[in-house]
Amino acid sequence: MSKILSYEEKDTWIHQLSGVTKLIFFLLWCVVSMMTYDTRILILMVVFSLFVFKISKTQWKQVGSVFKVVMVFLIFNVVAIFFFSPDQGSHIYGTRTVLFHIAGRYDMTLEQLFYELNVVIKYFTIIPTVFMFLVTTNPSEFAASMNKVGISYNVGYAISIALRYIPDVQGEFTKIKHAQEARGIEMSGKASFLNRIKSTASIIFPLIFSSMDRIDTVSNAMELRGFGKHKKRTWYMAKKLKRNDYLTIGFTVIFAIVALVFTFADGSRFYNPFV
Amino acid sequence: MKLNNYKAPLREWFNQADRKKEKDESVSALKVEDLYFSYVEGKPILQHIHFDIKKGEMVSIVGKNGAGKSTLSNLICGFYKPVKGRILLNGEDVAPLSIKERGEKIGLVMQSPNQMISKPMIYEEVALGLAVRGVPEKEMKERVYETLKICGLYPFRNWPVSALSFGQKKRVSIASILVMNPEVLILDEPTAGQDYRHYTEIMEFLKDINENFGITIIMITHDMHLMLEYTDRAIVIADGHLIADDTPARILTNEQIADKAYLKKTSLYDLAVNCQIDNPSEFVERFIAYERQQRKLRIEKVKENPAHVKDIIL
Ligand SMILES: Nc1ncnc2c1ncn2[C@@H]1O[C@H](COP(=O)(O)OP(=O)(O)OP(=O)(O)O)[C@@H](O)[C@H]1O
Ligand SMILES: [Mg+2]
Repeated sequence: MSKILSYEEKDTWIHQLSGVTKLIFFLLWCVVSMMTYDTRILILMVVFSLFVFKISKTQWKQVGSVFKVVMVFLIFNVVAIFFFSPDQGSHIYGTRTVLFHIAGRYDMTLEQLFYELNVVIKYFTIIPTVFMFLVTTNPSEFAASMNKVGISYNVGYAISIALRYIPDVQGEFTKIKHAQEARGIEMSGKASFLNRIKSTASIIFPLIFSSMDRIDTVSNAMELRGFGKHKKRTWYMAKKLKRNDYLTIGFTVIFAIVALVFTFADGSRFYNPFV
Repeated sequence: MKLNNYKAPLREWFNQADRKKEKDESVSALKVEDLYFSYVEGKPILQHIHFDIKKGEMVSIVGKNGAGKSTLSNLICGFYKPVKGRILLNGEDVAPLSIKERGEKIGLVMQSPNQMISKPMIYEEVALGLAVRGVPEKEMKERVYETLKICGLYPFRNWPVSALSFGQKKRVSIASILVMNPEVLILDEPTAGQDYRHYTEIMEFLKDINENFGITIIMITHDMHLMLEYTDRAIVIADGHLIADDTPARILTNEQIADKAYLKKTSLYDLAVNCQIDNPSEFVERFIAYERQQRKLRIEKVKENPAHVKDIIL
């Protein structure tokens, strides 16, 4: 049984990087992906993300179910864009090539399709990196390393606890689900999709509330033990930045600069194949 | 302690006290055959577990923290699949049955009540199992109220679950399983966190449904008193292995087993040894049987005259 989206120890150079390095990479990567609509750069980024994902030895079962949820959101997002602004594409690219008429003000245009394709690609530049970041970063090491680069240990600790709770909450969820099934609520594939969503929701909400309660309890318990009393604390999971870390950070920064310069060289975020 | 004056009378009592009656039911309710399980490959949690629990038995499963007791109950209910071995319910392999299908016969009260409770109100929570089975409103209400009374929760029936203490939540989870009348009832530490009064009430009720309706009851426990007083048989698990399957008295008087499973030897045993009774475990057994009889008499007295209820419980 494998836990979803939680740290799993493996021996790859990505796992050995400091959590801070991965965070810097991840943040810059997101910034670039959000800023640019240059299809060429986006495609390059997708290829690179998939490559990194591959060498991090992340398995499908660690991320598969979350991926499916993200896909549902993606579809929702794409449909919503079309519903609310069917002419966004023409607006951006300045031309209007109607493929076919749908109804009322809704025309399917090539520009709109291209624009939405870019949105989809953006998702795919980020998804593998988020997954990779979560499953290759040891929460405790991450908190320690953040502190090493000067971030207050309270912040580092908060993040690391959040990461650490991912598997706990999942375990809890599975147990609650089993208990419900044992009492006669079918939640496996045998139940209808709608019923499954309904019964899952009836578990998730109480779970969120009880997790909130727990945050309160844990923070009280930590305060009782003197957490946050002093400016400094000792860490035993800290990793010094090594050669690979500097190389990764260097590469990320250079990549971000080049990508952004390239994107904005013609004065627009968009790559326009229509003119 | 000075025992000299009591040695002779105690030996005499031992010789005339009734032997415990052996149950000779022979229909198997829950049988486990050569069961193996591990969460992580290469780290076995349970190995070669085998036992056969007969219909109408009341059995306890004991062992130190992390021995694999809760895991075993989860395997029986189908939350996990065994690596090897079979589990038979009424003589039939349960492997093809889903969790829900097993749940129709087996009721499991899990160790942590928080994992079982999903409704905001106590009434709704206890009624949940009946509601999904389509029991009519009126019958449901009756059964839920009755169960709430047994579990000492009736005054709280309209309370939100979040306002309850741990012990009360545990009782809510027991009630929500009891209400469904399972054939086999598995309770993971039913008495943890219970005060003496509620402990007695719940245990008496379990004993009652066990004796009068033939419901098979399996209790996972750390409470040696519970094991001795209420169950006729105990299965001991240590480090994933079944190391004993015998009467509680014999297990508690077997030093080797008690040490291995971190069980506390009963002081009755020491008493018997000190008084030079040749068969200390038999002594413990007869003593418990005698005590049970006394308790039964007390309870019968109360049934005739309910005003005495305080006398036995307090
Ligand atoms: N989800 C899980 N993943 C991996 N290991 C687990 C998991 N649940 C339990 N274990 C391990 O399995 C072993 C047995 O656990 P189990 O909960 O069955 O013990 P137990 O006998 O019920 O203990 P206790 O008396 O504390 O309730 C423990 O060593 C525990 O660390
Ligand atoms: Mg347990």
